[in-house]
Amino acid sequence: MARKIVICSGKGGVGKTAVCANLGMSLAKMGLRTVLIDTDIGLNNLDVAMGIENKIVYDIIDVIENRCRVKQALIPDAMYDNLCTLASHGQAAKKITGANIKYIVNCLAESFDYILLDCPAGIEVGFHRAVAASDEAIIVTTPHISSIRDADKVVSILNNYMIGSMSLIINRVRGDLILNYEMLDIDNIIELLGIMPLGVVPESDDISAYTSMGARLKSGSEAQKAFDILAHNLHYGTQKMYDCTSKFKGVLGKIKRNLKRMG
Amino acid sequence: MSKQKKELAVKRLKRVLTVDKVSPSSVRLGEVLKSDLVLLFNNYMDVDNLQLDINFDQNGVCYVTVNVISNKLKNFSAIL
Repeated sequence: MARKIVICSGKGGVGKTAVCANLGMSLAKMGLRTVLIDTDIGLNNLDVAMGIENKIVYDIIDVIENRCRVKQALIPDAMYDNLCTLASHGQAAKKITGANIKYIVNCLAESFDYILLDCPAGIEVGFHRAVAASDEAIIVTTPHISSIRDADKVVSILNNYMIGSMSLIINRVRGDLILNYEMLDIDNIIELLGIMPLGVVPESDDISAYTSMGARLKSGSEAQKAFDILAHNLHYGTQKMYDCTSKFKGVLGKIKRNLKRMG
Repeated sequence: MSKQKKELAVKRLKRVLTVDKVSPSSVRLGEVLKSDLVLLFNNYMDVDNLQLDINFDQNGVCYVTVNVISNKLKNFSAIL
């Protein structure tokens, strides 16, 4: 039976879709059968992040409106046989409910190990739809006050659901800024939000560049390593954390920090 | 930015998170509780200078502070 996990944040633009796509790929790389579902109906982007926007024949709306079966709408990944995406598109003829999403998730639960639901930003209907279909939640935040504040509100809302576990991913962390005391550090954020950390993803030019090309992160890149650690933590329950500050420590690190500051 | 400024940012975040958790509904609930408790005290005694404070912390724990001088306890037969 699959683990059904919603990836949410409250605030938009923190990297939910990129986390969903790359975490899914790392899980698939570990040999786990993974399906990614875009529940951000109307502002769908998971297809672009996965590089499958030109391969969509059927999507989640077609499944809900009975134009195809769930498995017909799954788009297999080009690199991993055990990774599929269920895309979404702009318009639905009728109102989509949490029960619709739950039905789809339950149909897929027997055939996969992980179902990751990419949740829309905000705490409106789309958020509740995605959460209602999930057993676990991953909250994505960045080390910025506005994002942490919204994550905290999401945690309060999730406490009212029958969510089995909640964990936190801190995305877009810059080690150089943490060492310069210009960014909140990871321990502060974890302590304030009071939920179990799943891991940290460094700010990386690779993520935006590769996502915009619909390509995969370079194997061995810092961002790829961080996502592999996240996937390992998620699957085995470990608490290994990627250290974003390590390459900015010491004399060479200080030079790198200063160079980065100068742009 | 110095370490002090980072500490200031953490303090600011803590304040924002705390203020968010004190919702208007908890304030309203406090008012309702207050009027009920005043009524309850008046049922059992003639009270003078009743000071009643109800506060909720960020975890939703309710703290009630009562400072009351009773002039006379009512007879049980007079209790409503």
